[in-house]
Amino acid sequence: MKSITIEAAVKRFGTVQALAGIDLHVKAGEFVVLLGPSGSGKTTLLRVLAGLERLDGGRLVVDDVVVDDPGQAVFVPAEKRKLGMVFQEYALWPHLDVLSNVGLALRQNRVSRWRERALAVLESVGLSEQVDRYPHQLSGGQQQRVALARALAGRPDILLFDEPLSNLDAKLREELRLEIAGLVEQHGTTAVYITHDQEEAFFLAARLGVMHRGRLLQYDRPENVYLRPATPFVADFTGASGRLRGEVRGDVLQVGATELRLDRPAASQGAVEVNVRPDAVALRGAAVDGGPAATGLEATVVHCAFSVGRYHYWLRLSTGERLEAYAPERFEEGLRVSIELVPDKLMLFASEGSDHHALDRGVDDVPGRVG
Amino acid sequence: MAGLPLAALIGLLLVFPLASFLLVAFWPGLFGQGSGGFSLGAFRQALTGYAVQALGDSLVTGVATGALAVATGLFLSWLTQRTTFAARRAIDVLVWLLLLAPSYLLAIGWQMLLQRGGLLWQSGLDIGWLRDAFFGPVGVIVVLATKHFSFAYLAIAPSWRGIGGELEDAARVHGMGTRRRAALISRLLLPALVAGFAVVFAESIGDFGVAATLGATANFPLATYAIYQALYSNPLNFPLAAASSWLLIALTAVAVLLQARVNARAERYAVLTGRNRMARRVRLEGGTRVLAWVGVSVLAMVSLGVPVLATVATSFTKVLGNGLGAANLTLANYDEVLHAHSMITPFLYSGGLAVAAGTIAVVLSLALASLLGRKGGLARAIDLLLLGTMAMPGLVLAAGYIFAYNQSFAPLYGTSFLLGMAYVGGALPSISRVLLGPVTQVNRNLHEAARVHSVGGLGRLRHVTIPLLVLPLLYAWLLAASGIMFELPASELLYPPGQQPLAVALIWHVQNFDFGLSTALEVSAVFVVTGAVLLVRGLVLGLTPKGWRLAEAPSAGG
Repeated sequence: MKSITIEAAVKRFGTVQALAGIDLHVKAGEFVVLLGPSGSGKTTLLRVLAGLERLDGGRLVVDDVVVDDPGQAVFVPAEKRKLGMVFQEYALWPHLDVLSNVGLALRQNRVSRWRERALAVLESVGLSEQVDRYPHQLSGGQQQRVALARALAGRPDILLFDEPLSNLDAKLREELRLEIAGLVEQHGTTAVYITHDQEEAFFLAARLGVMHRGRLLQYDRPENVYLRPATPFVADFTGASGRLRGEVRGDVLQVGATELRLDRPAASQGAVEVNVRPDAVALRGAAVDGGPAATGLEATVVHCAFSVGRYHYWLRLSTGERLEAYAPERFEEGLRVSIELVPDKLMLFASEGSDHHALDRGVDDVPGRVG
Repeated sequence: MAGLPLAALIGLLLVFPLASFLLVAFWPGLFGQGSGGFSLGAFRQALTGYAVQALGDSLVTGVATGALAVATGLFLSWLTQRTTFAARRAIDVLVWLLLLAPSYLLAIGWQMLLQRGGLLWQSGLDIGWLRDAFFGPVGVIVVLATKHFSFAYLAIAPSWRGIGGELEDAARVHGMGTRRRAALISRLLLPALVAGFAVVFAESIGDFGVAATLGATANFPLATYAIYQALYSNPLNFPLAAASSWLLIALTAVAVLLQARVNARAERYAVLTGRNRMARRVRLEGGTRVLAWVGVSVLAMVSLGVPVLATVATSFTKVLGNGLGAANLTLANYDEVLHAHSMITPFLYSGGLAVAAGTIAVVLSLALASLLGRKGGLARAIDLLLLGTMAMPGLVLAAGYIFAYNQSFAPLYGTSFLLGMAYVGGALPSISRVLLGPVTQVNRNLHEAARVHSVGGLGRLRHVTIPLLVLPLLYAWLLAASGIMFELPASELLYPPGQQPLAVALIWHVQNFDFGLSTALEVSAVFVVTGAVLLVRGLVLGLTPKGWRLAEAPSAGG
């Protein structure tokens, strides 16, 4: 296992800036997940790590060895980097049976007893019965298991995962991500995994990076990313999809007519944007005209869904702003409800930040291999 | 970088010949063959008299052929894609046979049947009106349409797949009646119909095989034949040939642009993307089923059956016109084909050139395909150029070689080398496109997967590239070599004195009324080439590991 250091990485495709200055350090043996929408640059970063793309600026160091540095004209090609990689579309060699797919690289690199080693890895992914099948005779899940075995077989220094589960259905996805976590842990290999699925990212990551428009917005332990997102984009992309406008004076946050006392004075004063996770919203029941709740916030139930033992609510405020919330009891759609916000779970960002305009995912999807 | 030498080769094989020839239309004295500086006189000539008549005939022929072929292709593709018609595989086989069959061979077959003194005549079934109709515009259009409907079929068939299933279900579920649904489908099929029409139109007006045989015999001059005459028969008029070529290319361009326009509009709907379940197939029953069988049988007979049977029958006939009795049957034609030096030579000559030029064309196409798979300005420029050349009549490119390489610095005209070069140049655009898919697939995913798993250059070549490309290369080679074997326009324009290629010999014998000999040579040649193709294919398939044959199987599910 080896560490990875990326410094000021820059990569352009024509006019598209796929990587706009990325710094990242992956400790030896760490499982890092890079999360981002399509067009965020995560695929490009992974391909740079793989040696399938060359940097335009900055450098890439594995342990103490510089493997890509355009300034010094250093570039170590993919085949010399001792990698394993699982591709989104599997990229199994269609003309080789399962054993040969896993064993080819071992044979080429004159690994003694390659067959035993390939068989052992295939057994660990549960495919010892299928060794003489060809890829087209396997299901999608089995194909991806072969790809996983192929990546592990060479005992690589670094494992790369390019959205490996995105072509599989939900049940299989859950099953395989658990296997991936177990196998990588067992092999102790440094791993970089990219995905656009936040649930998958939190499930796998020892350290989580959130990318957007060629930048790494935050890189931290998953719980820190979740609890203290660095930007509204990170908050939104990790599930804090409720957004309100507010104003902070000292330790008082005003949202609409409601004033909330914060635990401590907020860093940003004046106009703020408040990102709200469902668990920061307490649903207090039907609003009563003139009742005590009139001083609080009121919202209309847009949709109610039963989900994992409780109700999941989509709410709309009179200002048009939207929130999500959980509650143990059912309220009908269209009902006006009274809600309270939990101050210490709110995420406040100064309003002038430009980042939050980029929340409309899809608009910044760029064509090509920048995903 | 391999791009620049390749670009230089493209320059020598395609750009320089085409430019040399086409510029003569504006500068008659460019290569010392005519006199004078810049002039538009050649275009004035090309727009008068015989030349413009031939161009008009070509235009009418192209439009009529396109319409007929699109109708036929639509009918056949509906049968194979949307019905339970039992002979769906047979339709596909017919389409591929027609795609490979040289148009002049089909025309000669019909000629043997219908001409005065032909097979029908000698069996006492001479039908005057049919003969008169055939040796004129109708015959030319029918033969070209039957040869080219395969293009329309291949253009239309995939879009039935694209618009099937859910789109049609959606129309039903939302209460659209049969007529509204039919209108919806035809709207969605329109881009494919126009594409099919454009391809057939371009192929028909660029065709030289039918123009040089049936068209010439029937006194129905077509533009390609008029160009050939201006190059080869007195009075020689090179500038006129070049100007007529410009006009022919302009007609092609109109069709191609029309198609591009319809396609661009269609892409805005973007309905052909994404997954789509196959539509339910219509069960053909009763009258419809009978009609389908009759239609397909008639089509198979008219397009392939009749010309093939007529050709074979003629090859066993002593004297065409002496009746179909046993006394008139003979093997003498085959005996002469197998023993006469004059018959074997053209076959061997074309065979040698086909193997050599086919091999070179495939090697260059492989290099081109890898270049085209990459991004960059040079790749895009070469791509456009190859596409442009593909739409250009083969005769025009062949004519270019006369001008480009009949120079003091390149005195190649009249050599087998130049003929071979022209074969290579003619094959490059289509063969490189045939290889583009497999090469791109291998280069991208599968190569990258090998690289990140530390498989080095030689290992990749041995275990990934070669296994995955052997079969595509084999098919490309068989396609190129068998195409060159029967190639007509370049052969006719560039063959060295005293060394007739196969196609030239076949037509020469027909023009000399040696019908039995010509058809016997043709049947033998087709027989030998088909045998050789099957043999080579069988050998390669037999000698390669099982997995290599899976190369074209999908590499990923999902």
